[in-house]
Amino acid sequence: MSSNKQMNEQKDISKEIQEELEAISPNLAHISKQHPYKVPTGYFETLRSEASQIAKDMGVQRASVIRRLLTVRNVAAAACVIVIAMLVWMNNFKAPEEQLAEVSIDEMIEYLEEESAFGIDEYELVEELIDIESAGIDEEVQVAGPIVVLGDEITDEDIIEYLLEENIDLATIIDVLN
Amino acid sequence: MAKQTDQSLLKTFKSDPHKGFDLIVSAYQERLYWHVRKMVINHDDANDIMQNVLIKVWKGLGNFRADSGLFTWLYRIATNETLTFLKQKKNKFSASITDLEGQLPGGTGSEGLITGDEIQIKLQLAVQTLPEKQRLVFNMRYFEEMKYKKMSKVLKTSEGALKASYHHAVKKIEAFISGD
Repeated sequence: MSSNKQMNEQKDISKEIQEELEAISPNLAHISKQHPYKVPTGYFETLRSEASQIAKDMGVQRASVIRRLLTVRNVAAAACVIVIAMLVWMNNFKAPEEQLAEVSIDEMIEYLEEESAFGIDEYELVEELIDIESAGIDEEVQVAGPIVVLGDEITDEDIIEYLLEENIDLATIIDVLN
Repeated sequence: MAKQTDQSLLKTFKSDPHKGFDLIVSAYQERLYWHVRKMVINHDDANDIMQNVLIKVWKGLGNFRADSGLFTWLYRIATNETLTFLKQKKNKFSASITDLEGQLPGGTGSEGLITGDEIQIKLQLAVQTLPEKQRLVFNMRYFEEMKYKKMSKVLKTSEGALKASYHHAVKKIEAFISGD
C-alpha cells in the first residue's frame, strides 16, 4: 500500500474515532490525546540492540521445533498427556478409561482458546487443534504429509516438558473440566 | 528509509532471520512498547514485558503463518504478555498507580518518566480504574486509533462487543474526570 493511501486511511480512521467520541462524550473529545509517559533517552535504540542480542544468544530457531510437536500425531499425544496428567493429579478411584471418555476434544479446545486470550502462549496449539477438528484428521494427515522427526523420536517426557515450559497450568485445566 | 510492508519484512526474515528480525523490531517496537506501557504504567515493567515479547517473537517467527497478519500476531503476543503480567503482579500494579497519582498536584512525583498536565494524568488515572480488557479496548481505540475490525482480530472478540465495551469505558472515564 502506498504511504499516501495509508496516510489518507489513517486520517479517515482518526476522523471516524473523533466523531464517535464526540457522540458519546463531548467533554472527553476535547481533551488532548497526549499521554504523560516518557522513556529514558535512547531507549528504543537500546531495545533494538537488545533484540539483536536476544536473537544472537538464542540462535536461529528451527521452524520445526514447535511444529513437530504439533503434527497430528503429537497433538493427539499432547492431548492424551494432558488428560493422563489430570488423572494422576486428581488421584481418584475411577478407571483412567472412564475419565478419558468424559473429557471431549471440544472441551479441551474451548479451554485452551479461552486461556490463550489471557496469557497462555498456546496460539499455535489451539490453531492446530481447530484445524484438525475442522478439516478432519484423515485430510489433515494427507495435507501435512509425512511426520517430520528430526533425528530423534519425541517421547511423552518431551511433550510433558514442553507443556510445562510453556506454563500450561494443569491444575486450572482440571478445575475447568471438572 | 521507506516503510516496508509486512510481506517484505517476512520475506527478509526468511532469507536472513537476524536482519529480518531487526527490521521487524524496528518497525513495531515503539507501537508495541506504548501499547504495553499504557497498560502497566511503569517503564521498568513495560521493559520487562517487552523483553519477553521479543523472545516470543524471535522464537515464534519461524512458525508464523502469514494468514493472521504480522501486526495482529505481534499485538496479540504483547497483549497476552501484558495480561499475564497484570494477573501475576497485582501488588506491583498498585504501586504503579501510586506513581501516577504522585504526579497530580500535591502528590509526590517520583521517577520523572511520567509528566504532563493535570488533565492528562487524571485521564490516565481514570483509565486505570477500568477492568483490564475494557482498558485494553479503550487504549487501542482512543490512543492507538485502531479500527474495531483489527481490534477484533487481536483480542478475539466480536466487533459489537468491542463497540459496547468502548462506549462503557468512555462513559466511566467521563464520570471519573467530572467527579461524578
